[in-house]
Amino acid sequence: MTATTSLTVALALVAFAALYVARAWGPERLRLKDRTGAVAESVGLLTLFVLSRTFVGWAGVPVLLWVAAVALAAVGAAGAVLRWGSVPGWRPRRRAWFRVLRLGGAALVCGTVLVLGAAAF
Amino acid sequence: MTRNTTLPRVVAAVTAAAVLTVGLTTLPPSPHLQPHTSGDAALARAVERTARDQGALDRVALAYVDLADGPDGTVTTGFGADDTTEFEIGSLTKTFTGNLLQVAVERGEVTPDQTLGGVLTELAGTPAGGVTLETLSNHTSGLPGAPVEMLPSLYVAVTTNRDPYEASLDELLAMAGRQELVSPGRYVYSNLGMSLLGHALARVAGTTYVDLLQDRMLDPLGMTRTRVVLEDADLDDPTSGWSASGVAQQPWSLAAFAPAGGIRSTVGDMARYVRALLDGTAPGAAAMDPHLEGELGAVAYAWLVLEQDDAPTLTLHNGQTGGFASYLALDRAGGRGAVVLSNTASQLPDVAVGLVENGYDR
Repeated sequence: MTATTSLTVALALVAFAALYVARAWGPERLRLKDRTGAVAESVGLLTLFVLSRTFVGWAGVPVLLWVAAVALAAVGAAGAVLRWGSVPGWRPRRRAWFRVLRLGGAALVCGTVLVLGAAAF
Repeated sequence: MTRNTTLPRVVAAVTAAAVLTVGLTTLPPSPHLQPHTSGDAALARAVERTARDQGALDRVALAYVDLADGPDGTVTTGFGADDTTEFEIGSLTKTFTGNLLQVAVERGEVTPDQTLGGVLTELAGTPAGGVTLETLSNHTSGLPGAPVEMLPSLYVAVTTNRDPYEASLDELLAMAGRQELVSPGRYVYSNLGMSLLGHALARVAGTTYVDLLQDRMLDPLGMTRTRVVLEDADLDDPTSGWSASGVAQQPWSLAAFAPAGGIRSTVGDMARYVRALLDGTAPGAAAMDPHLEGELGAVAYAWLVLEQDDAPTLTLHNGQTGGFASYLALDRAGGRGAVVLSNTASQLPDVAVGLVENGYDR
């Protein structure tokens, strides 16, 4: 992995963590709508952290980016916990099957990364 | 504040604290080349920038030998390392195996055109059994780089920063027996082929590759800090290595593939090796002489011979594992040689070749 690729992944980590904060604390139209989404996005961000830690080299990449991503993730996690009681487990919507497919695919990808990450650790 | 609002806030705060704690305690390492810590300062100054530019992270140790300077003509230096720091030398091991072939030929134990199946009888009648020992030594046997059936597990292991070579000798021989030859006569770099060569030489001598290496190479050379450890679990606090981008790597022992890359050594020992190769006292040093018709300089037993128009002919080999890199270059006619060991999987050819061709300001 080149230094440019490593830096790109690190910046993407910060960006997704910032998005996580927006989904937890941001305006209503952005916010998490149900607990399923909260869990899915939390697992997704965790997967991105594992990917960044295990498979991305940080030589030449500012470690402050990791610290920033962690701080944002902490703020986002706190917000998701606070919203937990005020959202349903599953928000009814049209084409629920499509969401199930997306969640299933994401679970497969996240599971693979997490297993490989555990093996590499 | 009611209990209904207090509990969620407490849980939220605890969650945030847990995320911060886990995240900050798993801060990724950001390795960089350590400062000069041992050996010749002038040599260190001469190579530091090149080593950094070519991607060395963490530790580097190197030795430069010039026979013209007599006994004082061996100089070492280290960045975060000294003469006793152990490194994985990777495929530089192949030169030892090539020299062992030369030793066996000189002893009359084998002939270069002897077939593998004549020694490792398990392979008799298979495509691998029909290749000769000399074609194994210069990668023209037609055997693939690694057994084809290993490729998926090899890919997963490399992706997860682990040693991809875990086969026992029996497993190696079984896999070898199932391989088809790929373009025999053409150069195909083969860890499989070199591993089989090492085990064939050991079989003829009635011993194991580890003991053969010890008896015929390491002991005569006085390389007391050099070893082969066949199982990762038997490594006691090894020097850690890094990928080229700075991902921590688990050590490689290579198991039955050890003849192709399993030696662990120090720059102090490798300096002895370089000097002995240059002055001709190394066991099997004639392995470096052109014996074969080959492409890409593959004309010697494992060694590469690079003829250059406006520079000395170089005899060389490099090595690389998941977390280490090595490079050894010799100007045999000029009596100069250099070896560079690094715990980053990023080659440093300009360091070694630059020293051999140009020396350095003392």
